[in-house]
Parts: sequence; C-alpha cells; structure tokens
Amino acid sequence: MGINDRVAIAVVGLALLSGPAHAIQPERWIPLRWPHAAPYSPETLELLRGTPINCVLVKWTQGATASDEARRSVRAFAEHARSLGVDVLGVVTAEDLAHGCTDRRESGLAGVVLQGAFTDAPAALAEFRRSAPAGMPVVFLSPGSPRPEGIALFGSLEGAEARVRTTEGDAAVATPSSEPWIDTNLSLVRSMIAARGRPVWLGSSLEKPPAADCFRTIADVAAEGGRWVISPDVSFLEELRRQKPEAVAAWRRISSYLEFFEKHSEWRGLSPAGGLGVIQDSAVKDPEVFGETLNLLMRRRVPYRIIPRPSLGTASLDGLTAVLSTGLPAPTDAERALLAQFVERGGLLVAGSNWSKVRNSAGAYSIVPSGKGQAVVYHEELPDPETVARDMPSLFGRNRLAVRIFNGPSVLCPARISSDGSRMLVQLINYASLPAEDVTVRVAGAWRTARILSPDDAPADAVLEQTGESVQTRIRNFKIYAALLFER
Amino acid sequence: MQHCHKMSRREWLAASGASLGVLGAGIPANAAAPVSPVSIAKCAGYDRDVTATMAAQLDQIGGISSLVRGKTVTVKLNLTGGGRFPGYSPGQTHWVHPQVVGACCHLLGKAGARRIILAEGTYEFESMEDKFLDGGWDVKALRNAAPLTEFEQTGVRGSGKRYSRIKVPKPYIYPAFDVNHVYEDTDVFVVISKMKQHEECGLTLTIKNMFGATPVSIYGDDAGVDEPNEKARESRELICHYGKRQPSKSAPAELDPKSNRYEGYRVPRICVDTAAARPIDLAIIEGIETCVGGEGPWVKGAKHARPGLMIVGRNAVCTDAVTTAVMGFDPRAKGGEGPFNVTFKSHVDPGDTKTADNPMLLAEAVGLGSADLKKIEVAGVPIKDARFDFEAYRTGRNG
Repeated sequence: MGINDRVAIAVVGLALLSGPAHAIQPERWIPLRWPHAAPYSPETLELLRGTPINCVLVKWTQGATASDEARRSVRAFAEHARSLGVDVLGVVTAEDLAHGCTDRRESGLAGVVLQGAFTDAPAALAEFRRSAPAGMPVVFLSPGSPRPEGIALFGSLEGAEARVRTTEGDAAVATPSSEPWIDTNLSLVRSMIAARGRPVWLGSSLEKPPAADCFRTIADVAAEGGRWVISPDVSFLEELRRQKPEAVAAWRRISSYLEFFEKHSEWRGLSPAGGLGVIQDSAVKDPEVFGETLNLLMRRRVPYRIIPRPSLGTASLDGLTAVLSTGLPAPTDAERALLAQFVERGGLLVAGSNWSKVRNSAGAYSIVPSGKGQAVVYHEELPDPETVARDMPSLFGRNRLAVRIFNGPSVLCPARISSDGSRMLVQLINYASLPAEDVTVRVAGAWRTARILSPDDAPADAVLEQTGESVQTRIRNFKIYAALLFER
Repeated sequence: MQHCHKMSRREWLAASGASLGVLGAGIPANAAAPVSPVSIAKCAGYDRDVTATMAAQLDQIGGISSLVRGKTVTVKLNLTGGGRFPGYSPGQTHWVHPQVVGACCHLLGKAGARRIILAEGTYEFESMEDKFLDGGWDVKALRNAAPLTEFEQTGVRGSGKRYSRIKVPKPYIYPAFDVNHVYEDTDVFVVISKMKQHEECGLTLTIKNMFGATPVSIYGDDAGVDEPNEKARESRELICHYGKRQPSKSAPAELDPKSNRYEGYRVPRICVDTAAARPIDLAIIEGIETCVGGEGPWVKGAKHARPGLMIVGRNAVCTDAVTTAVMGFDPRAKGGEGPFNVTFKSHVDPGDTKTADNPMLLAEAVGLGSADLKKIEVAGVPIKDARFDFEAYRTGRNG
C-alpha cells in the first residue's frame, strides 16, 4: 500500500466518525443518486418531502481541489437531509481512495458507497475496511471487485433500463417463433440476492440515466426484492423545482411506485415459485454465459429458484421436479451422488457435458434415463443460454409450469410463493410502452381467490376460471405493473 | 371434389408438365380450369357487423346451407408465428381476426353444420386454446359461436390415432402428404386466410395458407427421420423450403430430390400440392385490417394497414386471384413479376438472387381453378372500387 492510500483511508475514517447519531437502517434505505452537477442546496432537497426516498448518494470527495465552500455545502446538505429523515451517503471510487480525501473534515454523512472497480486497489480497500469506524454502513456497488467483509448491502451499476428493446421506429425485434427482446433486471437481482442476501441495489452507470419514466425499472427491480437507485439528471430536478407539470406528474408516479413496493414489503419474504432449481456457483466457467441463461429462462417465463452451491443439499431440492446444473463446474462426489439420487427418484436433471460422457444423439443434448427420472446432458459444458432457455419449457413440460401467461409478449411474470404454499404472488411487468390488454394468467394448482394490485389502479378481485388442474384469469388492461395475489 | 376437372393427358402436359420449364416466362391460361363467383365486401372494422357482412357475401356466392347442413366442417385458420406490431393485436395484423372466425363459425352453425373443427398447426406443440389465448382471443365466446365447435392442433397427430394420407392428383413436389386426421375426416373444408404479402412467396392467401396444413412432426426441421416426432417445434425450412432433407420416412418422399432446391420454386408448388390434396370448399380472405410488406412483424418494413375488405369464394384459386387484383397486383403476373418480385438471396447459390413463382398460375395449370379475372364473376363491390394498393401503401405513395 502506498502512502497516498494510507492517508486517504485515515482521512476517510476520521471524517465518518462525525456521522449522524440517529439509528441507521440500511435495509430500509430507498436510494436516489444526486446528480454531480446539481447544487447541494437544501431547498432542492425539499423535493424529497412526501416521497419514500430516504437516502441520497452524493459524490463525497472531489479530491484536493474541493473548495471550503463546496465542503460546507455538502455538510449543510447532509444536515438538512437528516432533518427530513434522509440519510446522505458519500460515494467513493477507487480513484478517490488513491488521490485522497485529504481536505475532508466533518462530513455529516451516514455511510459510504464504494462504487466502481477496486481491482487495482485491493490493499487500499482492505485497509479502508479495517480502519473504518465501527458500525459505519458501507454499500458496495462494485460487483467485479474483491468483496470485503462487513458490507451492509450489495449492489451493481450494471442494471438495465427495463423495456422492450426497439429497432427502427417502434418496431420490436422479433422472428416468427420468438418474441420481442426485453431488457430486464429480474434474473440479476434474483441471482445477487441468492448469492449475497438482501438488500440489493441496482443502478445504472449511464451518464444520463432516464428518471422521468423509470417506474417500470423500479417495478422490475422491486419485483425481485431489490431497489433501483433513482438517478435524476440536473434538468429533471430543475423542472421539478419549477413545478413543470410533466416533471411533477412523473415524480409523483415514481413516488407512488416506490410507496407501493414499500407497502407490500412483506412480499420480499416470499420465495421464487416453480419446480425448477438452478444451481449457481461463483466459480462457474463463464459467469456471463451463466447469467444470460438465468436471464433467458426468465424471459421465457420459466419459473425457477436459485440454489447457491453452498446450499446444495437434500433440503434444497425439496419440491423440485427439475434441476439445471450447467452452472455447476466439476461437481464433487457428494454433489454428484445427491443429483443422481434426485434423478433416480423421478427428477429431471439438465446438465452440461461434465455430468456424463454419454452421447446418444446428434442434437444439442443426449437423454440418459436413470431410475424413475432422466438426465438431459448437453454436449457442451456450458451450453448456449438461448438453447437451454428454449429447450427448458418442453423438457420441463409446459403444462407443469407453475405460471403461464398468454397474450403478453411484452410481459414477464416472476412468481413467488409463501413457505406454507398458501399464497402465490404473480407479478406482471409490461415492458412495452403501450398497455398490456387481455392477458390471461394461468396458475397451476387449486386457488380459491385472487386479488389484483397495482400502483396505477385500485385493488380488485380477479375472476378465476378452473381449467384442468389450474386456474386462470384474464386481465383486461394494465399499464406497467400488476400483481395477482392468489390464495388457497 | 368440386374443383376437379378431368383433363386429357395432352391437356395435362400442356398445362403443367411442359409449362413447368417456362414458369419464369409465364404460363398460358388453362381454359379448362374451373371458375366460381367471388364476393367482395367492404367492412370498415371489427366492431362493425362482420357476421352480417359475411352472411351477405355467402349468399352472393350461392349460399352454404346445401354445402354444410348436417356435415362436419373443418376450418383451417391462419395464425402464423408470434411477435407483434406494437399497439396491435395479432388479429389486426398477421393472424385472422377472432371476430371473423367467430362470424364464420356462427354462420356455419346457423346453416346447419353439425360439427365445426377449427384447425391450425402451432409451433412448440402449443394447444389451440393456448394459441388463441396468446392472441388475446376469447376462447369461450368462440366455443359458443356455434352449437359444437372443437379445436385441433394439426402440427402434430393430435386427437387422431394415426395420420391421414392425402394424395396429390397432379403433383409438383410431393405425391401425397401425411396430415392430421381432421383434414380427411371432414365433409367440408373451409380456409380462412389473412390478406397479406409474403416476404419470400409474394402473397399469403388461401393457397399459401395450406402450407401450414403440413405437420411439423413430419415436415418440420426437427421431424423424426423414420417416424413423426410428436414433440417437433421447428418450422418447415429444411424439408419444405430448401429440400435439404426428406420428410419422416413414414410419409411419402418428394418425387424428385434432384429438382430445384430454391424456395421460391418449391414453396409455391408445395402449397399448390397441399391445396390439391385437400380440396377447399370455401375460401374466406380477411383484410379488414392486416399488414403490408410482409407476413408478420418479423419482416423488416412490414406495417399495419386497414384495407377494410373481406373476400369470399367457393374456389380458392378464383378467390385468390380476385384478392390479388384487389391488392393492386396482376394475378397472372409471371414468376418474379408483380407481387412475386420478391428478390432475395438464394440459399442454393448465395451469389444469385431469386424470385418467387405465381402459385395461382401453378394451381390453374393443374386444374384447381382459374386465375383469369375475365372469367370470374365478382359479386358485391367491384374490384376497381375495392382496390387497396398494398405496394403503394407500403411505399407511402398513397398512405
């Protein structure tokens, strides 16, 4: 560690010692990133009054060039925020650590956000964590870097604006047998929570991330229990300050979406529904390919839950009819025995080529029957995500999927279920700019009632229709998000 | 079979065999091809009285009571693939609309049809109910449109115990097809199609719609080699479009595996073969709303349009010919001309650019019906008053 690193870390620690005295609860933070170019004016902070936003991220250090006036304005900003019940967090990058916060003093900050790549500053990072004041919450928005212990919450700036991706004009990309390309964060949030637990923040590193129409992204991230870091730009804040009607309407809607998910925070306690378990291991050969497999399974509307490799055991397979193990590099003897037993008892294992050398088909995979079940063994160790996602509904059995939707090409439907199986939450997120109409939702099992809840409309009872061993209901119209809460 | 016309060997050679080699240069009219009236009606929207409009059209072509009373009627739909034009349901653009299907079922039931089977092949062995739901259709309403309405997914064997073999009287490519049993176990066969252009074949009308009667279990890319693959889910590119492989060995192979492998040559002929093997008793072409520039949203440049038209006839070739004229094209256009000037790179020789042949002339040549407008009686709205120029609309010249 260089001298600059030591100085910087020492000063960081000193500055945070004078942080706020009130109880800080990172799990309750609803974040907003303050635009760097916006003034740290207390009056602008008043825009947060009446909204659920209770946490503001500011660029903490501006290096040795920061003026006394700038420092004072940040402090005044943080103090005023505290009076509004808002915690201010200082964003620190690896560059900040290297070049120092040497002119920082009393900051009034409630915590720190480590943002960006710290791969070139591991020693500085470790020292920072070692010397940081006890109890200081640290948010780690740096998924690619070595992760220090004691982090209050994790996140990523690799989030995407949730939407249907368009090409020319408003024509969605499609082929005769496919659907529009949807940008979603659902699988990323699910994967992060499975690996690290909650809370999880997701944001965008875009220069000008869209704020005025970020409701969909808020819903997309919140549907899996994460929080989207709202990032207004300077012009949007200025329009708000001037009470421009469009900006005010957008701001109210953002607020109503945030409120909706806080009002239903108990949904975060529900577990992903579905009979498919996907084994996730950080040591997977190609994390991006595996991540895309999760993403495309979500986009193909295959309900699944993630089994982190350390949790892989008999209990983790309870209730599953299929396991996808392409993300499990070099299974141990114990893992192999466990999965082989799962197949023997009638389960379906979908594995990569490291599972078996059998090759009885010229296609993408071979089928290896065993006991009452079978293993589908792809001929590649980490098969093409699109192939796996496309094959999975038919391998699993379309009619055995926990949830299916019809007439919703731009709609995804992550589903969650209570531990006792008495409640099922099906969340419908429409990624298109136009409302979704006449969407039929079919849920396996005997459900007695269902309630429709949405930030945009009043709650209503759904009309359920029995169809085979499922129930289905038709949603006439919704704009961005609707939740169906089924009860036995 | 109403369209069958006995031809002498000389007529046959003149009309088909000998002319096959000169298709690119045009085919002489087959004077012996049967002719039947065609009705054109304007219908401004699906919220208008589609049923009354269609009823009047059916009357104009002679009524359907004698055709369907007490009979089993199979109705082949045109639902094609997924994807959407933003802001439109599939029925407004590239599928037939449920209002039109419902109206047809209602009128068939009212005319005395004993049983109606709605048939279509779907991808990924999706059931018909689920396919309908995927289009936002009201399945209950459709079931209630007639006393007994059933659904059959014909991309696979479906509810039958075995496939039915339907023979092609004068084949171009295949001597016979193995198809879902409903195409054989029916007294009357109705085809409802969308009035559309097609990226590779030029037009998607009644004859082209018959391409979808071939089950993907036998003719799909993942069809079984020996036996049908009842879990097939791929389209018919390798076998039908390109002729790179043969259907499952359980079904008849094509006549000449060394014939032209180019899809602009093969697909129109296969469509005519299927239309000949399963004679069509009633053709309904729906163009109340549709898309121009291609058969679906996956075709670059395709867009929504409102021709506001329905066309109905007893003879598929006549009906397609009149519709082609209404769309602003010459139904007697040579291969590669008019709507068939759909240049794209040949998979056989990527350096070569190909076009499509005219299926109406191919059908006429084998005696399925006349594509000669001078011979076809048009009831209802005259062609000139009904014309909706697809190319002009696509290119923005009139829209």
